[in-house]
Amino acid sequence: MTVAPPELGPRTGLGGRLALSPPRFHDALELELSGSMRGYNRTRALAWKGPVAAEYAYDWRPEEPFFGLGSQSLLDDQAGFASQSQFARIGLFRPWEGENTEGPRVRGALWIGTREMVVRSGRESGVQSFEELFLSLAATTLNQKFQNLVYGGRVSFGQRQGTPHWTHGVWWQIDAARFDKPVSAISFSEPGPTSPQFTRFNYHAATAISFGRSPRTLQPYVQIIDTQYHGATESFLLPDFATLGGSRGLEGFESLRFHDLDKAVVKLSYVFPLLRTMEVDLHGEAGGVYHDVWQDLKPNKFRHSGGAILRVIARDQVVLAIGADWSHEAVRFQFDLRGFQ
Amino acid sequence: MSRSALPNRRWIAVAVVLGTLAGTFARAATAPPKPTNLSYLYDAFDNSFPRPVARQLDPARWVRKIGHNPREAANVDENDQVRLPSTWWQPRVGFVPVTAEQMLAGPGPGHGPAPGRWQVTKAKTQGVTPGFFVKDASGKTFILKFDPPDHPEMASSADVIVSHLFWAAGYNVPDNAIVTFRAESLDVAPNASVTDASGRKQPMSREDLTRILGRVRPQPDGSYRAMSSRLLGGKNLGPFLYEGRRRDDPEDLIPHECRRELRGMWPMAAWLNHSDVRCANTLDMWVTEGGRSFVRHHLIDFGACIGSGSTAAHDYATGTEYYMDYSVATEQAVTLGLKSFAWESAVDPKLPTVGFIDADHFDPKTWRPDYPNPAFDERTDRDVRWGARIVTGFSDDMIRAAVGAGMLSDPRAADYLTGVLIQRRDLIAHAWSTAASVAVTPYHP
Repeated sequence: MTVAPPELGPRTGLGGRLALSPPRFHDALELELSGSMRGYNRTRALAWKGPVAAEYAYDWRPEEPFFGLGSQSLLDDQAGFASQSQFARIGLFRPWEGENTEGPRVRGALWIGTREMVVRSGRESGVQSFEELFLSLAATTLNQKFQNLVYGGRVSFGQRQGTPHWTHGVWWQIDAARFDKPVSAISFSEPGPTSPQFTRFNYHAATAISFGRSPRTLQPYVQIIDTQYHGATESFLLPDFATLGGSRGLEGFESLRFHDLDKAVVKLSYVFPLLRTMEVDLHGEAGGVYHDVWQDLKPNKFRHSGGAILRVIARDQVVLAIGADWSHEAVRFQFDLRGFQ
Repeated sequence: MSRSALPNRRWIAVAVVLGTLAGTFARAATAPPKPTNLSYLYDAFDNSFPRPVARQLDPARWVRKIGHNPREAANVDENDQVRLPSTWWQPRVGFVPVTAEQMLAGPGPGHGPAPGRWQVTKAKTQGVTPGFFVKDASGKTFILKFDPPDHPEMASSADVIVSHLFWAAGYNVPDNAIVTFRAESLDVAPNASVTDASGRKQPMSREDLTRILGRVRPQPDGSYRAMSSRLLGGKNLGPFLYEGRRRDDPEDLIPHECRRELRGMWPMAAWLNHSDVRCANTLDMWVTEGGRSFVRHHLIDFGACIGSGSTAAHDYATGTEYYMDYSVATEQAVTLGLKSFAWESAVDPKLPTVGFIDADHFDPKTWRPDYPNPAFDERTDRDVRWGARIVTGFSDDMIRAAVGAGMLSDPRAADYLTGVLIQRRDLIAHAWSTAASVAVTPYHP
């Protein structure tokens, strides 16, 4: 049994994760329970044998922010929503899942499963729930159980080298997922109203160029999410929108500050050592959310954010990171002590 | 008040002070100070963060600095030499003739456990390298330490070479030697214990011994090489600090950071790249000799010296920056990391048994340990010249003999190390112009 940081994402409050891996299953079964002071919780079970894995997860996220759609949404229009979801899937995950950090490696994964999602009223005190501010979005989605058959795949190529930050190489990854009509035989409950059906492509690419014996590194990174959805935006579930803000890109903005079907974000980091035990990461980001990224993307309309992180390193591991990111809307401070954020 | 009454009162006061001191010393003869139990993590934190900041905020220090009037060592005589007798240091190289044979005998006898069967009494499995306590046929107890698998001979040779050199420099050190043995010559004592990775102490079995030796790389003939260190005699009082005093030791009257032999140890530490010079690597022992009991202060554990970082080779930056070095960090922050580090053009000798040490990037004026040492921070030019006099007192033959005691199997490694130590000694001599001071300042014990 291990106790670890919760990994519930930003803006979830102080929390913890209890992981149980019964020895009699020879490390082929893992049960996790995560929770935080702001009421977020997750239950997860994962079993695997060779490359085949089965996973179940239940998520409750009570205080998610929503500011409206598009990059021009206003900070003053903050509303809140809660989401309750569960999914089960089976697929070829291991040993291919996870990030590759050393050596050239092509990885892939395929999965199929079922998902149930309910969007509920936001629970954050002092923040209006989204159905009060965004009536049209709430009209067809609030408190409805939406089921989807979900299947997809991932392929990635990584040739990243260097610790604790990667100093040279390339990495790219493409995720594709289809949220399809539910199949009642494998749904968690009887399918209710028609679920939004869409296909999502998520493209990431990064590289690193270094100079100096104690490497000073430039790391460009780009991410594009392209959601192919032909229904009414009003019926799209809030948690399924692509987002920017916080750790999902544009870190100087509040977490989940921008929502829309698609997004594009670029980031350039310059990492340089201060000492053998410290390094600084200066970075700038630009990006936006769009209804259709290929048609609407205009670099001159990008939102911008910048930041700096000081990392303390011991034995090639980052043990402490302290940083700040800023945008014209906010300054966000971050702190990470061995995963506790 | 009559003027004639004053001398009488003065004599009374002197008598009271002497009586108090006599009583104090009398207590010292029978009552050992309490053993210290220091947090080494806190020591690293305190010396890396609060103390450097407090030092910068000390107005008295700034006044002395601006007035070019540094606080000199407090335990020196009119010839600027350490007052003797001392339980910290004895005049040897640089002050009195010392032969290579005397250096190799050190605190003696300098050859490890007696041949024959050895009984393992205790073992530790935590850490990167395991270790044993063994008792030889004559009943003497030794600790055996092993090398990291990727760097055979490195830490053990560093420990032995540097302990010999520090003994010859006048400091109290344990009797360290390289030993080889076969697993069959070890017995597990009936009451032997083993401390596992979680810190729990358990009875030790033969299987434990086999498992621990399995983590050690054997030599080509199947034997094992280790560094043996004879346990120091007396009662273990724990480490000493490089600042303040051991307040329950009535003989410990001078703040350690004001002691010449500790401040003046900086050139020795720089020469031998002893980056791990911290309280964790010191040991006070309560000993009785010649009918008198007292605290003897030792330096121990030289496994992270010269090219060895104990569990790995020293990294290139060792000796050029503290782990938390405000001046280097500020330079890098201001230049956005574009300023080259002092070590960046260092060339690795690719000698796994040596690790990393060189002379080309050794700066005898700015060398630094891994984190600030309070006594070193207070050093003045007089302290450094005192220490440099010791360093330059080592002849090439003595250095060669000390390196030989490390029993490096690769002659290239021994030659490289000898050459580097000679070059670093010469750089210290050049930087601190000690030839003149040796000639004109004879030692007066």
